[in-house]
Amino acid sequence: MSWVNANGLRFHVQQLGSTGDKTVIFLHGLVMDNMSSWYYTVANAVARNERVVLYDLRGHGLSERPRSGYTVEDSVEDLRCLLDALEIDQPVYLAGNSYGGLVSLAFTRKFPERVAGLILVEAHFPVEGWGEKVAGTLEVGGVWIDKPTIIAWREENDQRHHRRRFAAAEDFIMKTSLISDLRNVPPYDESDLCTITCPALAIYGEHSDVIERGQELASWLPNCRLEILPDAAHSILMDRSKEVRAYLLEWLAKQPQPETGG
Amino acid sequence: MSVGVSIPEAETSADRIQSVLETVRTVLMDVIGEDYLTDVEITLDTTFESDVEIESVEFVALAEGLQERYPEVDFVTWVADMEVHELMNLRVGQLVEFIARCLG
Repeated sequence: MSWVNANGLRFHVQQLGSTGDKTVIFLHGLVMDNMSSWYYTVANAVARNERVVLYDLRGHGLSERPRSGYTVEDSVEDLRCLLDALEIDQPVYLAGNSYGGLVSLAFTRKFPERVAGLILVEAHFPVEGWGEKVAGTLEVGGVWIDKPTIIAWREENDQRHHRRRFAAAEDFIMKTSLISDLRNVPPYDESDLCTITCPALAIYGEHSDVIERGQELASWLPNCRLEILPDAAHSILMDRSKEVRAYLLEWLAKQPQPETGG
Repeated sequence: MSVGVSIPEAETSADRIQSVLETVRTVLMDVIGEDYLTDVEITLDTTFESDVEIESVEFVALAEGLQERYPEVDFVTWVADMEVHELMNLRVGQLVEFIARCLG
């Protein structure tokens, strides 16, 4: 397995298709997610033509799960350190799903010179009350682990991969600083996002609970194309992967090759 | 000047399948741990999701381990051509046969 030490942690990193002109970094969603959702759906198709880097965010998948350090800034710094460790100095394309979209946006705000473009699939970004809402949902998830219906489901689905995912989620929610760190994420408004001038593609499901974020991105980012998938909700990466992949490949092919950084 | 030189018998397709299956077993042990796998028989008919109960992120690590063992095999194109449900329902035999075909 590929391990990369960055920002004081050991990250699980996969690199595919090394010959492309563009480098695409894939960032996954929160808690129950990991790099495999991109690997199973889109990343290999992109890797046919471009260099692809997938990694498990801190605390997720096979990466290390420290007890603290789950602010958005921590994840932004992780990405910067990973790019440095992999000696990627050319501006990259960031593809973020859900929470991975938030990290991608935050990284681009802080290091605009390192980002050639953004692919935002069902991207969250913090608005007033966002941290409280996400933290509350996760807390409820943590409490639910002991509820009879969940216990019954777990007994019916007593397979190794389910057991491991539940155990990891339980540890993550109950025994790290994740919830308190998320609760304190400050909200973004138009003035925070209108400075992101790189090309962006945003893809959302028509019935997504964060569809408004997509509409705001399209209206606030000066160079953002929005695609809305009909009859779809938040989990479009897994449920509607063909369409997500088609939009992403078509958009990426039209983007110019980034100039080498230095 | 090969006239008269005896050429070793080429590896048969069945031999190759067995050899790749052994390699898949070994890499799988590395990824998900021997303790668990001692109770699971890994044959060509074994499914990764239902029988091995592999986590999706472990399947990614398995593919990487196999890519290292078989650098000539184009795993990227193979995975790119499959949809999510096909990957989720993959049998060990499909993976082994794909690798063996590439080596043949």
